[in-house]
Amino acid sequence: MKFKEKDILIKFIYSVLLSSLIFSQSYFNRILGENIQFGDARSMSLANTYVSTATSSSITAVNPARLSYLSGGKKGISFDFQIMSKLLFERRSIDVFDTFGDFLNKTDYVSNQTSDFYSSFGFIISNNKIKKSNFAIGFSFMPLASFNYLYEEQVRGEGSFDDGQLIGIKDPLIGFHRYQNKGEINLFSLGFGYSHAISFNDGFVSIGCSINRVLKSKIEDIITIDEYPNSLYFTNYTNLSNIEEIQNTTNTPYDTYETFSVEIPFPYSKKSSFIFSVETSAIIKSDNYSGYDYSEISGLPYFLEYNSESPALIPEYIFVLKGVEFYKPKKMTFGLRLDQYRTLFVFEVNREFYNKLDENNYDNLLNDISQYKFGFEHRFKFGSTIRMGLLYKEKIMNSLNPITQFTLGSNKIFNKNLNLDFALSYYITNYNYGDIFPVSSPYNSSLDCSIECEMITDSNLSISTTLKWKF
Amino acid sequence: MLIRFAILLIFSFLYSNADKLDINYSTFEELMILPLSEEKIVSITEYLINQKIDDIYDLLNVEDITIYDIHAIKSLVKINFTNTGSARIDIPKSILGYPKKYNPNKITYDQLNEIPNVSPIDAVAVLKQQKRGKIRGTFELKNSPGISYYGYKNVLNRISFDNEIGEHGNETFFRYEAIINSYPSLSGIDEEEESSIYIDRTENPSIFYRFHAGNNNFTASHLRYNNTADPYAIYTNKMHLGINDVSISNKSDSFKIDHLIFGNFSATYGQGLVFSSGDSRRARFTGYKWNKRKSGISPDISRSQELTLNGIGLQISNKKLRLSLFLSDDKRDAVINEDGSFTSLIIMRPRLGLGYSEGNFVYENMIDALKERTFGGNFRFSINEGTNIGATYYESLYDRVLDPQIINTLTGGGGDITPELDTFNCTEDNPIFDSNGDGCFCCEGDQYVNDYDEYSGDVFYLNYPSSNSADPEVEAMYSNSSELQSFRFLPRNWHWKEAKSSRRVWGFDFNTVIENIAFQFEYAVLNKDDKDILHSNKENPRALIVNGFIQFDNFNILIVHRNYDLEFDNPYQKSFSNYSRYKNTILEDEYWLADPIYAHLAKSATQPQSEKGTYIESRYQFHQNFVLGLQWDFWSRKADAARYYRMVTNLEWRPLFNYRIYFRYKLQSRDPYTVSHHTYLIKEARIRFKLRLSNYNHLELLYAWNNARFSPRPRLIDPINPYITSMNVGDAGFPDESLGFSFHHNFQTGSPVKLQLTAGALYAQGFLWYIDYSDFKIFDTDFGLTNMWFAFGLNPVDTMRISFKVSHTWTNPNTGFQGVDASGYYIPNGYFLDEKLDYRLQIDYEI
Repeated sequence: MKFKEKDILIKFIYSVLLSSLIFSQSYFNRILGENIQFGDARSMSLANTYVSTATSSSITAVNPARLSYLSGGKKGISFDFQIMSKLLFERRSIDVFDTFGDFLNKTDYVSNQTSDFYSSFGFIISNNKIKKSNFAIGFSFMPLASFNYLYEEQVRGEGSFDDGQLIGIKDPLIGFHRYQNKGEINLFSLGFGYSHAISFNDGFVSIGCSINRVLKSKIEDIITIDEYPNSLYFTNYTNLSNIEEIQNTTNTPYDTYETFSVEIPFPYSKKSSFIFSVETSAIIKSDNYSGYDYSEISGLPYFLEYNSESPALIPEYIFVLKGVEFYKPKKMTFGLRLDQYRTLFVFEVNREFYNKLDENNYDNLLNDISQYKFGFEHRFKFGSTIRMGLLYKEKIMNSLNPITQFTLGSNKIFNKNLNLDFALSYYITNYNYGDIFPVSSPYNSSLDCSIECEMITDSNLSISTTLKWKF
Repeated sequence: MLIRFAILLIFSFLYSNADKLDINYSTFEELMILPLSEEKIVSITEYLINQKIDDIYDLLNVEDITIYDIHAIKSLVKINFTNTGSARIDIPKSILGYPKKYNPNKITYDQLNEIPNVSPIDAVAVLKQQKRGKIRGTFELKNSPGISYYGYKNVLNRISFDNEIGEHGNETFFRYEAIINSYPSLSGIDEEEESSIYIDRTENPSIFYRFHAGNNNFTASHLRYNNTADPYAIYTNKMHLGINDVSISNKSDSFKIDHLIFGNFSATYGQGLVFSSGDSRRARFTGYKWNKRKSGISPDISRSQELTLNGIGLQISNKKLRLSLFLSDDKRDAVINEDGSFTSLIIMRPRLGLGYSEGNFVYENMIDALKERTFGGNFRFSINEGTNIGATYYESLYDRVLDPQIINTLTGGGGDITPELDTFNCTEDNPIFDSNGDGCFCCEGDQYVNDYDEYSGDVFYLNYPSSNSADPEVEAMYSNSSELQSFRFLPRNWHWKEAKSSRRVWGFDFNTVIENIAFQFEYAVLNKDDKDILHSNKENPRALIVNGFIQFDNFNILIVHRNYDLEFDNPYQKSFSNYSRYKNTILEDEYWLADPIYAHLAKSATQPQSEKGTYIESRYQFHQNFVLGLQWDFWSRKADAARYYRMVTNLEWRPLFNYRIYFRYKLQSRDPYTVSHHTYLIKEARIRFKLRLSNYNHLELLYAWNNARFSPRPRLIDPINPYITSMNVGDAGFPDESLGFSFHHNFQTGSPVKLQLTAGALYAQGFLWYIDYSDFKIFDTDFGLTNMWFAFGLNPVDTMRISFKVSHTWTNPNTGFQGVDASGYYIPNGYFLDEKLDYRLQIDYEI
C-alpha cells in the first residue's frame, strides 16, 4: 500500500492517558482468568459494549467489520495506546451467633486490596479506493486475561492480660497466610474489515474477520506461611494453617482463534446498525497441568487436598492445582445500535459457551452464560456527552450469584483534536466459600455451607479516563 | 442626527436580516448557497420538512451536521419560527395519558369516584351536570353543582371533550411496560414497616412485563412478574380477554355490559370490607383523596400474585342497578401442615416455597399448594346519583382442610424434646413458671423455660408478657372442614369433589351524598356455621366501617370509624386500618418460627388488624400561602386491648411562588405504661425545602428528626434470658437524624429526545422512610448510613419512555457487637460493614 505524504492522515486517534481504579473479586482468576479485554472509556461507560461501540484498535479482536468505517471513510492510519490500572478489594466475613446459637451478624476477618497495571496498543490502516467501499486493516495488542490475585491474612494467637498485671498485646500477631497468583495472557490480533454502501437506509454493510493469537506467558503461584517466633504458648500456633508452601512457575503455550463479524443497517436511522459477531474458542493448557476438585460444601472449585496420613511437621494440606488451563470460550454477540437525534441506544447480548469445557474434566461445573447489556449516550449540542449502561451477567457457576454492573460516563471536548472521556463502572457481589487456609481436619466438617462457609464480598469500582488526540 | 443614525441602524439591521436566508422556509435551491456540501443540504432539507427549528443549533440533530458547519452558516441564516422557551420541555402525552380518558357525558359514578382526589361529592356534581345538559367543555364542567376546585381539576385530567371517545368506540391502544428492579419487593408501602434481614435478599432482580391492548369495547393483556430474589422459574403469569362497555339494547336506560372478562380479573366492592382481590396493601386506606379503590369488576393488570381471581367475571349495569358476578379457580400459596391440611394462605416476597431452611422445617412446598374456587358477587341499587345500597357475598372452597396448627407448623412443634439439657431452676417467684396459669408453679404443663434448649417459639406463643401481646389474633385464625363440596348459591350438581373446607362472607353497604356531605357505611359477617346467611348467630364475627366526609373549597374533613371482630379472618378484606393483621404477634419474630419464611404471614399481610377506632383527617388552606393538614387516629386493638393513637400534622408554606416548605410532625404512642403493656412514644419530624426552578427543574433539601422511646420489653431482657443483661433492640431515647438533598434537571437538548437527570444523597442515622426516584425505602441503622442515587429519564420518542435508577447504600461499620463463631469461639469486637446496590430499569411504550 502506497500513500502520498499529503494523503497520509497520521493520527494518534488516542494518545490515551487512561487510568482505572477497580475493586473486584478475583479468587477464581486462577482457573477462569479475569476478562480484562479493554476497549475504551466510551464503550466501557456504555455497559462494556466493546463489540458494538468500541472505537479503538481493540475492535480488531471482537468486531473487525467495524474497522472499515471507524475513520469515516477517509484514508489514513490511526494509532492508539492505552494504560489501565486496577485496584482489587475483597472482604471475607464469618457468621457471628448469639448465645442461643441464632445468627447475629457477619464480621469481617480479612480484607485485601491489590493493584495491577495493564497496557494495550494498536493501529488501524484504512482506505477507500474502491467506489462506495471502505476497507481497513487493524492490529492490536492487549491483555486477554489476568491471573493476578493476592490474599493476605493476619493470624493472631490468644493472649489475654488482665489490666494492671502485665504490659502486652492482647491476641498478638503470630504470622501471615499469604496466597498469590501472578501473570497475564496477552492477545495479538490482526483483522480486516470491508464495508460497502447500499441503497437500503443509506447505510453500509460491513464484514470483517480477524486472527487472534493468544501469546505465551508465565503464571506464578505462591503460598507462604510467615510465622513469627514467639515465646508464648505453643497452642497459639494452632491458628496457623499447616499447608504446603509453594512457589510454582508455569509457562503457557500459545493458541489461535478467529473472529468473524458483520454489521448491517437497521431501519431506524442512518447510523443504526445490527451487529453479529462470532469468536471461536481457544484453550491454553500447560503440559504439567493437573486439575482441581470442587468442594462438596460450597460447590465451587477447591485447590487443596488433605493428607490424613501426614506425620508430624509434614503439611496436611497440599495445593493440588499444577500448571495452567485457561479456556477462552466461543462467544456469540448480537448487538443493536440505534442512533438518532444525537442519542445512541445500544443493546448487546453475549453468549459464552463455557460448558464445552466440561468435556474435559469439570463435571458441568461451568455454565454457558449470557451477558445482557444496555447503554445509552446523549450528545449535547456543544459536544459534551452523557452516557449510562447496565450489564447483567449470568452466573458461571451455580454457587455464585449473577452480577449486575452499572456504568456511567461523559466526555469533554477541548477542541477539534482533543477529547477527554470519563467512565465509571461498579458492581458488588458476594458468594460463600470455605476457608482457603484451613486449620482443622475436613473430616470434622458438617458439609453444611451455612455453617462451614464464609461470605466473600467483592466490590468492583472502575474509574477510567481516555484522552483522545488527533493530528 | 440621532434620528438619522437610528433610522440608518434600523435599515441596516432590516437589510442585513433580510439578506439572510430564513432557513425554516427556504427551498433546497436557496439553501444551496450555503457553504455546505450537497449531501448535508439534502439532509437539512429533509429534516426541515418534518420539523422546524427555533435555534440554529437544532441543526446539530441533523445527520452529519457538525458544530463547524453551524459556525460556517450561522451568519448567513435567520430563524423566524420561534417557540417560547418555557414550552420546550413537554412530557409525552401518551405516556402520561395512560389512564383511560372518559366521555364527560357518559362517565359513571364509579369511574368518577376512582379518580384520585375526586370526592363522591365531586362525582355527584358531574352526574348532576350531565342531567342538566350536555357537557361540551370546561365551562359546563366547571359549573357542575357542588364540584370543588381540585375535583374539577382532577376530573379534567381524565376526560376528553372529543366526541369520538365512547361513542364510536374505536380508539385502539397498545402498551408495553417492562421493569427490572433489584430492590426487595414489598407488599405495600407504609412508614412503619420494619426492615428484615431475611427479606433483604437481592440475588435475582424482579422482572415485570406487561402487554395491554384494546379499544373501547375490547381489551386483552398479558403480564409476567416475579419478586426480587424469587427462585428460578417462580413467577406470576396473568392474562385476560375482556369485553367492555357494550350496550345490550339501544334504549336510553338499557343495561350495558360493563365488563365480561375471561382470565384474570379483579373485584372490589364497597370499602373492601367483604371483598377486594389482590395482595397489595395500603395503611390507612380511606378510599378518599389519593387512596382510591376501583369499584366493581375490572381486568387485572396489577402485580398482585396472590388473592387474584382467574375465571370469568361479569358486570352489567344501568343507571339504577349494577350486578357483578364472578367465578374463579386459582391456586394459592399456603402454609401446609404435617397432616396435609393448611394453616393459612401466605403472601411471600420472595416466594420461597420451601422456606429459608430449604425444606428442613417446612412440611410441603408452599407455592401453589392450595386450590381455591371462589364464587361471589355484588348487587347494587342506586336511588339517585349519589345514593346506593348494595349487598356483597362470596364463598371460597379449598381443596384442603383449613386447620391452623400454630405450634406444630409455625413455631416448630411442641414438647420438650431434650429435657436433659434444661438448665434453668424453677422458682415460684417468677410468674412465667406458671405458664398455663393454673396457679401451680413448675408443674406439669409449665414447660416454657425447659423448652429453651429447643430454641423454638412454642413456649412463647400466647405467653404474654414473656412474648407478644397480640398472639390471640393468631389464635383466632379461621378454621373449617366441610363436607359440602359445592357452593351454597350455585346448583348442587356443580360439585367440586376435592373441596374440603370453605369460607364465606357477606355484607351490605350504603353510601349517599347530601349537598357537600358524603356518607358511607359497610357491614360484614363471616359465617362460621353452615346455616343460611340471614340466620342470626351472634357467634359469627362481624366487621363494620362507616365514614363521613364534608367538603368546602379550602377545607375538608373526613371521619372514619371501624370496628373489626378479632375472629373476622377474611383474606379479601382490605378496608381501613392502621396496622395489618398479625402485627405484634409471634409471627413477626423470625427467630421464634420454624422457618423465617413464616414471618411473611405478618410482614406481607394485606388484611387489617382487628381494631376499633376512629380516624379523622382534615385539610385546611387558611391562607393563600399556607395549607394545614391533620391525620388523627385513635384505636384499640382487639387482640390485647392495647390502645394506640397516631397524629400527623402537615404544614405547607409557600413564602414565594417557587419556594415551598413542607413540615410534617408525627406523634404516635401506645397506651401509658402498665405492668402488662409495653408502651412506646414516637416523635417524628421532617422538613423539606423545595425550590422550583424553570423548565420544571427543582432542588430539595430534607431534614428529619425522630425520637422513639420504648419501655423495656421482658421478652428481650432479663430475667427471661440470663445471658442478656441489657435491652438489645430499639433506639431508646435516641434521637435519629437524617439529612438529604436531591435535584431534578430537564436537559434543554433542543431535539425530540427528552432527557431528565434526578439525583440525591442522604445521610441517615436511626430510622427513616424515604422515597427516592421510584422506590419506597426504609432505613434502620444504629451507626448511620449514606445513600446516594441517580436516575435518568429519557423519551427517545413521545410514545416511549426509558428510566434507569441506581442506588448505593453504605452503612457505617459496626464494631460493637459480640458473639461466637460457628465453632463456639468468642468474638469480642465484630466488624460489620454493609454495602448494597440496587437498580431499576423501566421501559414504557404506547401506541
